[in-house]
Amino acid sequence: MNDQSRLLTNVKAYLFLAPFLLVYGLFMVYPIAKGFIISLHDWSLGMESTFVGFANYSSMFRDSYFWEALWNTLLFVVISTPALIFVGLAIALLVNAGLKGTTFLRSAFFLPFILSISVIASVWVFILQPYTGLLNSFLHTIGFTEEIFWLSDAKLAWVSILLATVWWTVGFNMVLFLAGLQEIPEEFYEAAEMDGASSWKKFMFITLPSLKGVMLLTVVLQTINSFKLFGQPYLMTGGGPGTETRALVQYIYEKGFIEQQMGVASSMSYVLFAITITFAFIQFKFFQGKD
Amino acid sequence: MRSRKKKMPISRKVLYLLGYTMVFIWLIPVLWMCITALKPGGSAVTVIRDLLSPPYTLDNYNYVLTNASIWNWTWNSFYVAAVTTIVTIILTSLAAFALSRMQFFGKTFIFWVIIAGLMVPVEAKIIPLFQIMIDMGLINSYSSLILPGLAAPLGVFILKQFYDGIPNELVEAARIDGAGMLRIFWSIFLPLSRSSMAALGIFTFITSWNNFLWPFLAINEEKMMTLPVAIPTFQSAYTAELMIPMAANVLASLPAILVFIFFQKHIIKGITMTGIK
Amino acid sequence: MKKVSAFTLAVFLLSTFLVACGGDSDSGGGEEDNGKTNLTFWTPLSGGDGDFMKELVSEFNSENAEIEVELLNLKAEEYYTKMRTSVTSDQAPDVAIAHTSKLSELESANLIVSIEDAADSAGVEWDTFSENIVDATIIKDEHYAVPLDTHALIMYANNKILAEADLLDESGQPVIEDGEEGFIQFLEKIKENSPSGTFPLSATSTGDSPLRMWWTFYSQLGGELLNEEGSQAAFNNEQGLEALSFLGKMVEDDLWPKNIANGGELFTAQKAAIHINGVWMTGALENNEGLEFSAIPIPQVFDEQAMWGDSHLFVVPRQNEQSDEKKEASIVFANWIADHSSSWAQAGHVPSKPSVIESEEFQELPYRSDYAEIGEDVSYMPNTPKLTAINDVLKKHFNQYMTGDVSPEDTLSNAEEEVNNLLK
Repeated sequence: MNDQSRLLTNVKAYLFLAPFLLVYGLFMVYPIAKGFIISLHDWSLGMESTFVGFANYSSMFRDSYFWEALWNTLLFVVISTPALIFVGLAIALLVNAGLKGTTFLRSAFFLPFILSISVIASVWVFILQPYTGLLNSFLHTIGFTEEIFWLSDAKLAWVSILLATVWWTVGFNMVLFLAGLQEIPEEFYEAAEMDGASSWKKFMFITLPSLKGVMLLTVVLQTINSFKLFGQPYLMTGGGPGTETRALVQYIYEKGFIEQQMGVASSMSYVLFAITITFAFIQFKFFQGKD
Repeated sequence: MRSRKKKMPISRKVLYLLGYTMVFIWLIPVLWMCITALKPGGSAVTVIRDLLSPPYTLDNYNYVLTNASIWNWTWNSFYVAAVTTIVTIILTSLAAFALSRMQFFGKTFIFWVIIAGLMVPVEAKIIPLFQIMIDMGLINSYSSLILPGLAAPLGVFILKQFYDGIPNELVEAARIDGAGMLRIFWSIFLPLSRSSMAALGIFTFITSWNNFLWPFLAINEEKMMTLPVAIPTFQSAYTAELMIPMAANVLASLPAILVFIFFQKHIIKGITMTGIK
Repeated sequence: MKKVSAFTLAVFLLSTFLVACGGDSDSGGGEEDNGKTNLTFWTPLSGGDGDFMKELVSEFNSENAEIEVELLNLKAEEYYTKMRTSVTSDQAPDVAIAHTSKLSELESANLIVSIEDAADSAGVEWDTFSENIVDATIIKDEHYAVPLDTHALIMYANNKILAEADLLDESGQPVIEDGEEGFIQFLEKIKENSPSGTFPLSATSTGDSPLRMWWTFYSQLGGELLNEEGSQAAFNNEQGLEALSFLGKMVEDDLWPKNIANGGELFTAQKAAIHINGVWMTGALENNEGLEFSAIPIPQVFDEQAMWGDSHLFVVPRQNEQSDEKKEASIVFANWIADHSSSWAQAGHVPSKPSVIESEEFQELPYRSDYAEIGEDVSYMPNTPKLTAINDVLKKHFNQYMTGDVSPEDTLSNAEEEVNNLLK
């Protein structure tokens, strides 16, 4: 291959790449770089910005609300990820059991995922509200008279957010697990049956190991998604009571757009960014391990 | 087959009971939303007996349809999601093809830069992105909603994975026939990857359709809002009742539910492929 | 040949994509069209207000051949954030509603412009407005807003429930003894004499409501939010504590049941005897047949009569190329609405022009005249550029206090510390 044709191949390749790279550069690479620059400035919309070095980072680390929001997000990740994996797998097994109406079951469990977070939140707020909410009214009729404050008690508010999140998104995980389950060769089970293995044993020694790949993928996707938590607490509790259910993304929004401290908000974004990138590396470890 | 000969074993019955009870519980919020939206204003909607007995009315729907621009918001959501989906497929398939089948300077570097973006959530970019949109004069426009969604490394990744699996013999054969790269892309890779593209398309569409945070920031005016942002805005005006907000919820969900019912096989397959492949 | 086609394809794709994105409707709006001046008008209205304003605007449009106003309502929580971003991205509306309490914040952030000249050429006569409302809109000797109304926290009472508890006088007004004790006893009596499940008091326990109620009673005790220079918090004192503990006592005694998510809904459903909310609920409550209620000022529980309040104003947001013509048209519009605000009063608000309050139209409206005097007793929050931030801090802490997890002393001292940090 001579120089000229090599040049030609390069030009051709970049022509294929150009449209995507243009958009990617402008809306992925550039914002990430710009975000770092903003985080070094004291700046609010429509105002002049001043360079402040790493002052935003140090003020962020001194801000107890930042730690609270970060902690809230981490807590949500740690609790919601296993919950969504476990429930997702359980439902997938149920749907995969070959009951009549499998398509209906699968669709019903998946249905909430296609609804918008705004709809989800407003329905759950009305279901969970005290005194007149559907859930509390139901509990009253079955003789449970105490009023439960699902969204006003910090711990219960987290439980409610978790329940709503599971209800909303678990269908997605279910679909991933279903696909994984259907890829397990029938012969595996038949062989085990001949050996007289119990259902539990079949699950432990065939199903679970075969799902390893899907499992890792789902765990990583779910972790990243849980870090992005915003809509559920913002729309269901407003981050309350007080700030006890405020997630990091909501705090970034409030710092940046309401308090107009774009610099501090950017430095918090960088923390979120660093965390998600860390998980990206973990994910690639998984991908490499799979091959 | 085997079980049909015998009576249904108890474990099977338990499974049925479990499955259908759970599905019923699962559907309660949606059912409740639909029924509440049919009750006249001021009626009690938490007593099951009252819920399941008349009177019912369509007034709430009438009210929402005359007082809220539901169709306009639905159109906005649809337009933004559709354009994002189509353009994403075009851009990412071109890029994936180059990364999969062409040799060029800086290939590894570019590939890794794209892969690294896979895990950057929009949520971590909102502040600079917002400033960029202001600089470009695009705040409060469809472009501001569409453009950030196009930087979709996931699409490149999925399609490249698929293209990598296409046998080289096909490419060589076409080469011998004198086809150029574009021709090979167009007449071999695109047709072969139809299902991957559909999967990517469905995934992109759902993500865009339900996107909340970015449209919430980038849109200032009601008439430009997408459904997820417009619905809470509309509902915030009705502080003393819940029938109207629920009717709005139902109307906002209707297109998605209908599409889901008709295309559920494809949608579920799409998600599977995006996740697994 | 192939090179060319690859290139053409790339160009074609890029241009489709640019066209797809460029097909936006122009949201700046306001171009002159068939000789009319088009104005975009933003509002943060809820709870029935929006509908009344919509009617007024369409009435204005049909009566005025030269000006066409397009109304856009936004969610109250995000309204001022959106206002700021729209000004920054030069997409600001031509005229907008703002609150008196936000005015100095808007002015100091350069988001609104003076309307001194435009008001002159539009023929606004400032002496037709209530003097105290107009005074609050003057910054550095220049007018920045056309006042529309005063609104305040008031008390709604369910007449049926009160009648059954024998708490109405001959004229159908609630009988409430003076002072803190009197008010508590009033609620106790409701509790004793009403069917179980009735809420003596239903006010929303989150959001703005606890702050507004605290401010009402704190003002009745003569308290101030900040020191005179506006440089430090001045609410962590005996009066602040007394007002906050008063709220807490009602919750503790189960007169104001804990953690109410939506007090208005309970009152509408006739489950609550008393509801405390802004005047804007009047319009929404009236729509409920079978709900017999009265609307009265919040009783004087402490030393002097006062209640939380604010007013709606018309402001002109800053645009890069502000046309005088549009500015003038905006003021003409604002003044027209203020003149015709007796129908705005249907939403519950008290008009800014005394002539409108005295008009037959207003006097004939039920309920409104019962609380028209609040205009004189309203206690505005201080006009400081940091008020939103301060209010957010207070809301956060008071909402937490309402859940019963924090003591009133800690609530105030935590809030004080954060407010002082903000003012630094």
